[in-house]
Amino acid sequence: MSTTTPSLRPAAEAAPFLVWPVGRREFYTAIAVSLVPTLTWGAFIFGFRVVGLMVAALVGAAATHLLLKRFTTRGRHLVLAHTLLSAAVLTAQSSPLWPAWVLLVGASLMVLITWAMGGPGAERVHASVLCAVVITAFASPYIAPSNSLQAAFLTRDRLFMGDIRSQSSAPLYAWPVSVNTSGFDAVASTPPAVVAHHMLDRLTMIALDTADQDPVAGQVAEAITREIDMPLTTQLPPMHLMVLGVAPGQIGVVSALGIALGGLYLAYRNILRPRSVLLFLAAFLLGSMAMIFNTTFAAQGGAPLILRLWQTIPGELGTLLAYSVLNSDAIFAAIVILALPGTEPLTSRGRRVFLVVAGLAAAFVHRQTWSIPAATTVLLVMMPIANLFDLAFRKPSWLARRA
Amino acid sequence: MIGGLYFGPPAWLPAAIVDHTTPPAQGVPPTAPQTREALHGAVSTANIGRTTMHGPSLGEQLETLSGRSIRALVVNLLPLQPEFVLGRAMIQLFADDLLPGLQALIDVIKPRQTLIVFDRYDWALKRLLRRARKGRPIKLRGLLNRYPQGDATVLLRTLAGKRLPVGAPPTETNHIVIDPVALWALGRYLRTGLTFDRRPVQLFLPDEAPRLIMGTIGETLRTCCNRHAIGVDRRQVIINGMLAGTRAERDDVIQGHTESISLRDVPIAEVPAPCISCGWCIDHCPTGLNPVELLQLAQTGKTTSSAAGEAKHCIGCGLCSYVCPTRLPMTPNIVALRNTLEAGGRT
Repeated sequence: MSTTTPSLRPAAEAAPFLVWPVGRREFYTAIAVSLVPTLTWGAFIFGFRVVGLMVAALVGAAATHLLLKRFTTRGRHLVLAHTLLSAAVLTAQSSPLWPAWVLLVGASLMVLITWAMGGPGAERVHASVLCAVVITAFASPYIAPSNSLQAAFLTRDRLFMGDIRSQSSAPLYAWPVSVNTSGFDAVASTPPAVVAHHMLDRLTMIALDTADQDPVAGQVAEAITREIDMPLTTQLPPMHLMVLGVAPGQIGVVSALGIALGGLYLAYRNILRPRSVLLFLAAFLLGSMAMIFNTTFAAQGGAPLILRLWQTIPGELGTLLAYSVLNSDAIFAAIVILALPGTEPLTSRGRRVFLVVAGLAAAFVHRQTWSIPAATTVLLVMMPIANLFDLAFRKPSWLARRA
Repeated sequence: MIGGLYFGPPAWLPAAIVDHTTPPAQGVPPTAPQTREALHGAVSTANIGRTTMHGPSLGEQLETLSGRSIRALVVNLLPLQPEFVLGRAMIQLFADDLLPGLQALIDVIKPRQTLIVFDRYDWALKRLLRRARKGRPIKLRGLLNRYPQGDATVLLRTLAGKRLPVGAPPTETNHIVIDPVALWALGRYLRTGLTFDRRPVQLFLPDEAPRLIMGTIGETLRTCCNRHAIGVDRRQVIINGMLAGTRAERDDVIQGHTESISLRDVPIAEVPAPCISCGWCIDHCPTGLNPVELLQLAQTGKTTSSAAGEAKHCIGCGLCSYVCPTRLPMTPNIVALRNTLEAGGRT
């Protein structure tokens, strides 16, 4: 497509003589605007440092954009709104503890990669994927300590008061107060999803130890419930804090509420397909339900045992699942990444299959490791093969189909 | 309804309506036709050719009628372009001729049912129709008017679940779809003996309220506009709507199917950019095509592939190009590809 434009005639020469008032610029701007609530919340939760990271990313991206536009011929394909959006997405995906220069370089790199691929629309893989690969390869010594994401970063007491120098270890079962942070700048905690996965693994071991007994029998169920109840009240934050985003994670990913607000705006602007969001999240949820126990358990106990456990302690399992999902990047990926044009296939049937496959794959990856944003990674990695789904599941016009 | 965009009911009523009164009968009016052949003869004599850009004329439909039993006679009052208001205006101004024309068709064709299709949210038209149909076995059917709902192919899909090939007469599916101007012209002929020599034309001007004027068939657009004190110089002239219309020269003539004339200052065209794969064109295509793929095929000249064959299902509504954020001219290229295929241009 990128090479065809010079031969095209201006739109005013033939019908339609009007155009929808949303062009490329408005399209990308709308997605960037949808990130405002979640990034604002990220700045509130993680402190003033995040604002600095945002500025670094925006400056890096804008400067590279202007230089390429000014001094290269290919630079005319770049769109400023796309550049700023790339910087915003990169900021949202980064850890609040990353050094600012990583974001500065990363954002510049994203623009450079987009430019090298021929501008927005011409790329067959998101620039952010290549950028992430490059950052991981070259900057891992600098981002590794915080990239483990084992540390929460809550700095309400230090809001707008500068950098974080020291952290105290504390669970997040309640909104931390001054006592928790006394003498420290922040509170460090284990991410709820990691706690949930650990508890599920523990549950797996109990169930396997008592494999010869009926897990629905009162004694086993009681042991499992006892095992789960204590950490639920002492190690995990309340659900409303999870929805708000008072949890460790990437800057723009932690707040489900903030992302949902952005999603509503995108749906209002017709940029986001609500069906795609729901389908991806449903597939992710189903996948997470099916893969809630680790693979050892699944192999030894099999599907019947999993089903019986779901029948026995649905409340506890559902709660752990909710923590796992809310503390993942699934909602961010379902709303922001799917809104990026080109992520999903174009045809409706291909899109449905793609989203189901992607949702299940994301659930699998999320259950295996916490160190990468599973849903975002899966969607971005699958982008280059999205058109294969179009080809495989193409549907002819309804006029061509015979009754 | 498939695809399409909802633009809402027509937002305007004609601000200025001129010379819409029908002259009294001159001499002895023709006798009302009693057979299908006589009806076809009357339509030919009255010179009623194509009266709309969407779908075949009444005469062409009567030609292909033969002995078919017609399931439904559909009077299409839906706006064929988002800005059109002709359906409502015709009922408002010309009901005296339009309804006798419809009655004559019902008497001869004897359809199983007669439907008047209109925009569900056009309450004013609904009231007018309820008053007008009194005593006649005519059903009113309000539809959600998502453009291009007024196109015959899309309309029959919504109304009856039929798959009418693009450009084929609706009689293939035992339906007749007729527009209000053809009915008016027929009724007028049967009442007064006047042939179809003038028609109502919607006039859209920049910074002015739209008008409905009577255009004389055969006169130039310049003459017609000058007659109404409208200058056309240094303006772009578009006939038959902004989404699916065509550019015209000032000396082009008004024809039977000239439904609207739009004048505007020549705009600065946006330069098309590479496709960003947003999928909006596919989402909105009323016939379920993949316009961006067809554009690529049209531009690369791969007209022999089976995918290119899908172009024959394009109704040329213009929605794909309208919604495209990168302003790719899909409609003209796909329509050109369709025409090539229809002309047997497969190589």
